[in-house]
Amino acid sequence: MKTIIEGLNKNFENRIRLGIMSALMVNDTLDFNSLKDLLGVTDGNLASHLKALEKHELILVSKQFIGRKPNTTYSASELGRINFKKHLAALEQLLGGI
Amino acid sequence: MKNQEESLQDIKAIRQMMEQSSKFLSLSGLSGIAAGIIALFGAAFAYFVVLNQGENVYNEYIQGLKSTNTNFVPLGMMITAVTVFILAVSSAWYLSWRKAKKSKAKFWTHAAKVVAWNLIFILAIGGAFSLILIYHENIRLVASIMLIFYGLALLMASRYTHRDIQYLAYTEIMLGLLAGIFLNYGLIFWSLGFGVFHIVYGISMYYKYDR
Repeated sequence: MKTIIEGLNKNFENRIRLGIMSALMVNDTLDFNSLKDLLGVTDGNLASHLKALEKHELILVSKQFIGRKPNTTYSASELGRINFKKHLAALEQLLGGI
Repeated sequence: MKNQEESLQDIKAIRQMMEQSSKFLSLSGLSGIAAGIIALFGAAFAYFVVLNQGENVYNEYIQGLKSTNTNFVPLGMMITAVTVFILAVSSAWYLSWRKAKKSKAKFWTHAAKVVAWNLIFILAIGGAFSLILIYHENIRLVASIMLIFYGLALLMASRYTHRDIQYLAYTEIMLGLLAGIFLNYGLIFWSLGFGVFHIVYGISMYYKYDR
């Protein structure tokens, strides 16, 4: 049982962070507004979760300008991908009994 | 500690998010049926009115000799094609939008933009090439080119929507190649590709995903 729990990542326990990672696993990059639409959360809420994921180096952030508007895009980092896969494997193992 | 119920919910959420964020699933089967019907009307108009039931055979050489109204056939065909295109796209758009609204999903998503961009980009190249063919009075190849480019556009788009679209894509490409061989039957292949097969795939998609 202990090894299963090691695979679970605290960062992915929150449903919004889990959602962000899931979306970034299957898209090369997504911008802030796309993520906001997908998750249906407020700007501030999404920003704080993205900050947290960035701090743990699970996602990569790149800022650029489209004309004069800043446009920030996000992608999953290598570490994020590995951790997410481990987390998913652990979840599946927990379900092993069903 | 996490229990099984929670893990199950998490996995469901992950799967849903992955699908939702990478695939345009609002594409309605009805839009295929509508586009097919519009295309068949267009083809009928082209045959019975523009070509006058095959009386107006397009042949640059003869038309040049007779010096009849040489512009009538290509121009009439072009206007018919553009009208069909606009009607088909707007009805597909509307029906998909309605499906998204009904299932309370967002319509203009990241995946929808990718699908739209892929289609527009490849169809624009195909459209430009068709105009080049018309400019060089190679009008008989236009049906073939339209089918092939449409098939390629669908093939690209199929990666971001229901995967089944790829079979329609292969069908269109094959019909396009055949239309290139049997030059005088362009309109028939065109009606099959844009009309009949749209309806067939639309019906099968409708039963598979929309009900």
